[in-house]
Amino acid sequence: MKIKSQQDFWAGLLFLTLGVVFALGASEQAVGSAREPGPGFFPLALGAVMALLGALILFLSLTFETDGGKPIGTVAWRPLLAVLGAIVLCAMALPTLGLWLTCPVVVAVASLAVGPPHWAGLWWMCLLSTLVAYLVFVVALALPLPLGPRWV
Amino acid sequence: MDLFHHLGSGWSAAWTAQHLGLALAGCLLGLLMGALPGLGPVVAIALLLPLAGALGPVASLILLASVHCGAQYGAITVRTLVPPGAASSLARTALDAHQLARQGRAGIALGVAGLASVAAAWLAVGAMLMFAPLLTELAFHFGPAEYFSLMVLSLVGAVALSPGSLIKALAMIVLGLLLSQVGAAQVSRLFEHALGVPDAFGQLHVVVLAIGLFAFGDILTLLGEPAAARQPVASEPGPLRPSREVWRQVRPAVWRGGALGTLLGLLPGGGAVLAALVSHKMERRLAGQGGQFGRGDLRGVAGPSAALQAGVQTSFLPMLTFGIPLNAVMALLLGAMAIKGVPPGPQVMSAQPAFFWGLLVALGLSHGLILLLNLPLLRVWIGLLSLPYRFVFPVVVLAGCLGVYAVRGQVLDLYLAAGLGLAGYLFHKLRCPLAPLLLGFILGPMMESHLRVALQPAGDWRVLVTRPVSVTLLVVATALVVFVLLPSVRRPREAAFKEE
Repeated sequence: MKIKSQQDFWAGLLFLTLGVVFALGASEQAVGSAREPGPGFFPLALGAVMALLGALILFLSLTFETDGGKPIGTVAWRPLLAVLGAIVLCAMALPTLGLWLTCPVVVAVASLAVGPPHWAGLWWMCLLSTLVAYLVFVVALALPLPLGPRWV
Repeated sequence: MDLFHHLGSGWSAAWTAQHLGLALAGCLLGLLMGALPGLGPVVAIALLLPLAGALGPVASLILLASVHCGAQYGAITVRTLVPPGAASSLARTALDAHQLARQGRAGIALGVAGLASVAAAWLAVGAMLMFAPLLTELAFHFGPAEYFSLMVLSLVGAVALSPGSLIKALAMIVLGLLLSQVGAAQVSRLFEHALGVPDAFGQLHVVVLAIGLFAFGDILTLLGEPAAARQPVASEPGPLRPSREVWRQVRPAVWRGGALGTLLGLLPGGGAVLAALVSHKMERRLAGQGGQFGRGDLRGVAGPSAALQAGVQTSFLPMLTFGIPLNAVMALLLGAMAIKGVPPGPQVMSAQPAFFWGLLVALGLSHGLILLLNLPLLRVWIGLLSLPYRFVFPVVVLAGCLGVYAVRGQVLDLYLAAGLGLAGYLFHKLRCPLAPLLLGFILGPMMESHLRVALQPAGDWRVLVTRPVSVTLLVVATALVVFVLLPSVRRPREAAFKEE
């Protein structure tokens, strides 16, 4: 069997899997019946519908010829690593290192997504965004954020 | 007259120093974000949702709505001055404006587009002030079964009137519905077993979802497909103000476009885009041999701009009267309303008149403010739109992170947002549209409660097909799916709603 649309094949597989997982999760709840739907009824039904739609997409991707096979293309690993890494770093650093240090770190790590840093541009971006972040989130919104590092 | 009464109560709600200041700030932010590369209205509103959390209900919605308005005008500047990368349908409606810019007449194109947009927006807001009570009246006649069916129709309609695979879009709706269900049904216990994350999805917040999927997902998508820096075709816009003769020539096109947009804006999905396309075709046909269409005809600038802007305004109406979002932006605004404790639905108008009329009047005011801000600051926007993306996205990442953390002060939300960003990238790679997921997520709880009430007391599902209005809505939804799947409809639909 030949995959005729890579995009649809993987999308179909994804929906099929997610649908089954959700339906299984829902069936742990009281499902009830169509007459008296319990809390698990709608998730179960929706999971089943999604699994069906996924199966349909999967079937179509193996049946109908498409132009060029609709490839998924290359995965942009560098942006993925840099941007997601910056978010995860923010989650780890914000409560302990405080706003003043976290903001430049997040901006700097995220900017690695497009290549080695342009120092002049990076410097201005860090300075401005940290100041704006302080004004918006600490002064205006009064969030309980630590500003400096909290050494434990 | 009722209209003046509503205008008056809206005016007194909107005309305070705080609200005017927020509208002004929102318009400026919207214009800025609309002009910057890689930030559409959806991302702009997702990023500002956390800020709205600190304001009152009227104030937060005024801020978000004015950002939405501003972003539209920023996008007009971009479409006029920057050569279109891909053949999106909005770029097609801006063809004449772009041709004028190439001939060194960018100023007049932007002036006409701006004036036409403001005029049409005021027309649409006026129509909304007049017809909102009627629609609310109608909404009160809807029982739970009718509401449920109407929501089904709006979801199906939104994916039918947008590009891409219908089946994948339907699957994304179902995924959104499921994600909205997860908390209530505690399916997350399964994930708890599997991942060891306690109740991770049980509290998926709309702000986390919006910033993760749309802001972070968009960044990853754009970085994955590097594009050249945008270069405006003209740095000197030239004279802005259209002469009296020019305005007399384009005026009929503005009113026709505005009326068209006011009506088609009520359609789900790409209603406003459809209005702009129809207006461009219509003006071209009406001009006949005398037109310069495709080579820079001002009527081809005025009509579509008016239609688009009017359509953008009227999509607020179903959101305010029925509590039904027609597109991703309206879904986010509904989410903001829910956060602020204004339960959406027909009761908003009578229970919170200051909110309802104040928001509508503030919409009109925002366009007035934009009239004063947009064109005088044109040089600033032109400077911004060629800013390389590498100076934009790190700041957006930071804003998104702090916004997600600001919602509940939970570190877990940041990990969730990172995961959702990855999911957004993945869905883009698989060409699965994200807007239907958000629509499903927002409508899910409402659909469930309406359905549960409709099934009371006997659990009789036939109520959905025995009540005439309900069955009509469901039949239309089914017909729409069949219609879109027809081979003869598939191709023109792709062409009409093509996105960048």
